[in-house]
Amino acid sequence: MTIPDAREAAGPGAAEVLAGAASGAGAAAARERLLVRSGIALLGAALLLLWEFGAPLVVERRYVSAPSEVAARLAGLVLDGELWGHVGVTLGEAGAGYLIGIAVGLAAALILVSVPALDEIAGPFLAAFYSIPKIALAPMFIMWFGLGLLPKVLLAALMVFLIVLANTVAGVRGIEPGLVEVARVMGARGGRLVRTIILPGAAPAVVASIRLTFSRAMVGAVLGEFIAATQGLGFLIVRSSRQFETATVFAGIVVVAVLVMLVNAMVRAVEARALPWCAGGARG
Amino acid sequence: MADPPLEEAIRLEAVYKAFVPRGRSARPLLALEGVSFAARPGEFISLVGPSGCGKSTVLNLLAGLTRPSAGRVTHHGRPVSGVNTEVGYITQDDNLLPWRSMARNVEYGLELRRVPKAERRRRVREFIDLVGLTGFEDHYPHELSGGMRKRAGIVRTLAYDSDVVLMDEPFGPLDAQTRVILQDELLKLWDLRRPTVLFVTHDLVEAIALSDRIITFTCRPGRVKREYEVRLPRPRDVFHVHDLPRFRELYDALWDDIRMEIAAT
Repeated sequence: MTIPDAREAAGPGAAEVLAGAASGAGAAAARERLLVRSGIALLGAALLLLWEFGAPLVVERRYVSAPSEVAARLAGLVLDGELWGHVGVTLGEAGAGYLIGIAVGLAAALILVSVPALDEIAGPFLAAFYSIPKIALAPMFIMWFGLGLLPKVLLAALMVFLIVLANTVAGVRGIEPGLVEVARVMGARGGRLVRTIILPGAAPAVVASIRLTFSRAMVGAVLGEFIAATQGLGFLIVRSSRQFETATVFAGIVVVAVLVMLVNAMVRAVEARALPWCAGGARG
Repeated sequence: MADPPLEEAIRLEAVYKAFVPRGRSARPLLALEGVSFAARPGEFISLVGPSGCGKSTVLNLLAGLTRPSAGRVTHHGRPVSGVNTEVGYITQDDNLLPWRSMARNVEYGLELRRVPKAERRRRVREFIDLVGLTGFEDHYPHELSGGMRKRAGIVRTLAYDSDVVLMDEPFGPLDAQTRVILQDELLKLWDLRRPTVLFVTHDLVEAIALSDRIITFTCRPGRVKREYEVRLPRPRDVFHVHDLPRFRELYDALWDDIRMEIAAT
C-alpha cells in the first residue's frame, strides 16, 4: 500500500488559493476605500448644508454668511484679480520666514548639541521663550521693524525657528547610541560623523517638524498683517471683518487653509523622496 | 618594562574597571577586577560567563570606547587611547545605518578609510557575494531579514580588513537554525584572512564550535576564571561538532564553571 501524495489531494491548487486570497483582499480594500471616501463626501456636504440652511435659523445671516455667498465672493476675488495680490504677499512673507526659521533653527540646534552642556544652560531661557504667546510680540515687531514685509517675515521665522530647534535637538538626542559608537570605531569623527550619522539620524524628526511648521509660518505672517498692513490675506480678513463683509472673511480663511494644505502636500512629496528609508514617512 | 613580544595582537594587564551608575546615592560598581590575558594574531577566543560579568566591557576597552580604571590595555603593544579605529567591532544589534542601502552600509567603513571608489565597489561586491546577499544590494536594512542584516553587519566590518575583530554576542537575537548557519559562514569568512577574534557569547556550544581558546569569567566583579584550549581540528563542521568526544568533555567542564558562577550570583 502506498501513501497518497499529499500534493495530489483533492482541492484547488496553491496558485488558485493565492489568487483567490489576493482578489478577496483587493476587493475588501476597495470596499473600505469607497466607504471612507463616500463618508468624507457625505459629512462635508452635511456640514455645508447645515451652514447654508441651519445656521440662519439660529444666528442672523450677516454674521455667519453662507457657503453659497462665500463661494460667490471667492469667485469674485479671483475674477477681479484682487486675490492674487494678497496671496502673493502672504505667501512671500510666510515662505521667506519659513526658510529663515528652518535655517536658523537647524544651525542653532547643531551648535546646541555640539557644545557640551550648552543645551542644558540654554534650556530655561528657551523654555521661557516658548511660553511667550507669540501674538503678544506682534505689535512690538511692527513697532520695531515698521509697516512693511519685514516684521511679518520675522514673526513667521520666529514661529518656525523654535519648533525646528526643539525637534532637531530631540532628533539628534534620539539617535541610537550604538550606531554612533560603531561608526566611531569604524573611523567616523568630526564633520564626517555629523554628515554621515548625526544629520541623517536626526532627519526624520527634523523633516517632520519642517513639514508641520509651514502652518505656523502662515500664522506668523497673517498675525503680522492683522496688526498693520496694506496687503495680504490677514489684511483682507481684518478689513472685511471691520466692514461686516462676513463672506469675504470666510473666503480669506478658506484661501489660507488651502494654501497650508497645498504646501504640506508638496513638502510631504519631497519628504518621501528625500527619506526613502522611512517606510511610510516620519510622523510628528 | 620590556617591549611585549611581537606575536601578540592584544593584551590586557591587571585591568580594573569601575562604573559609577547614574543616580544620587549610587555607589561605584566594579565591573572588572584584575583581568589579564593576551591573544596571538589569528587566534579565535571566546569569552563566556554569566550576564553582567564585564565581557562586553573588555570589548569596549579594546575599542577605546571606555578607559580602564587601572591596568593596561594594549593593541600590538601600544596602549589603546581614544577610539581604536584599527579594530573591527560587531555588536549584538546589527547597527546598520537605516538610511543606507545594504551595499552602501557594507561600503561605509571603506569610505571612512578613503579607499578609492572602484576598489571599494569591487570589495563590496566580493563580500556581499561571499555571504549570499547578491541581489539585495539596494534594499534598506528594514527590508532585510534578521539573518541578512547580521550578514551585512559582519561583512561591513570584515570588508575593511582589521586584524582584530571584536564580536559582542553577534548571533544573540537570531533563531537557532539561522545561528548555526551564520556560525558556519563566520568560520569560512574568518578563514580567509584569519584576524584575531574576541567573541563574547552565552552559548557554550557556539564558543566550542568557533574558538581556539575559551576564557571563562566569574560573576561581577568579572575576573578570568579559567582558560581552555579547544584543540578541535580545523576546518570545523559546526553542524556536527557535538558528536566529537572532545566536545562533550569541554562542554561539561565549561558548564561546571559557569554553573558555579551563576549559582554565586
